[in-house]
Amino acid sequence: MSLLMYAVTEAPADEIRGTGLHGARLGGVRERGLVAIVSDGDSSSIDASEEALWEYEQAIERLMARHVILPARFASILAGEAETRAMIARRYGELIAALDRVRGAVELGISAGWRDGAETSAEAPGSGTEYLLGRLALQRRASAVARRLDPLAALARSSRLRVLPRPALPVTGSYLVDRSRANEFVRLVADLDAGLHEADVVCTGPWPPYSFVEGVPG
Amino acid sequence: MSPNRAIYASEELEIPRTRQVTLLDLLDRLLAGGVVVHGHITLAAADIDLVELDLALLVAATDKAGGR
Repeated sequence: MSLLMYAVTEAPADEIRGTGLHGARLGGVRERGLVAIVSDGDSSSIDASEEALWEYEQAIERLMARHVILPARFASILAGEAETRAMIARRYGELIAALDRVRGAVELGISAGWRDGAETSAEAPGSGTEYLLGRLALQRRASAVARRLDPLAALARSSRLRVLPRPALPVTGSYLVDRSRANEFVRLVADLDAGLHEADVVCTGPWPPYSFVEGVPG
Repeated sequence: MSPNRAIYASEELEIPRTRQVTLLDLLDRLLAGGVVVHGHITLAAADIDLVELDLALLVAATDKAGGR
């Protein structure tokens, strides 16, 4: 039976308990002091729906409450225990470094939206040139919003920002923040939001550190 | 659009529970982040990098994901 992986952790295998996707029981596969948290599952048993994504996220959050974890990408299937151990062995150094990177921290997200519906004028019908000029103007405005969020980086170990990932969103971002500074971070987002005229900024999370597990330089 | 869902927040954090988490916030993390066990193919669609795990999931998710 193949395995669905939820996370990699340092906790001993016999402490892994609880349920994962669709009520499947969680267990651990141990290799060199690291443990992959898994349940039985194959790609056909994964319900491809928004509900399944939320269910998976909740399972990961329950794990994060009890262990230092590197969350796995959704629907990470491994052939079996042997393949899981081989994966851990092959990537041991990288996984250890990632656990050290996220230990004691949470991921907080920010999402900025236009206050005035600016994106609709950028997408109004017109010539190709008008469209491109409109998008350039939108890009400049989005960059200006991103710069106003610079103070957030000072409260984080690491951050990743996207400027205008889509016309409706000037900025989205992920920040790896010490748990002890998370409340301060949330308050700073609220302060920056109050001072921004062009956009409103929402803080989301705390998330498991999905955005910081794959070797992003701080 | 995701269901009107309060942000998961532990008791220690002061994140207001009225905020919505959009599907996009979730997709950006669950499908484009996390430990990768195989060499996934990355597709760029509408300026969002998504992982091709299953074409049905990808199509369903991009249909529903939108701006705020």
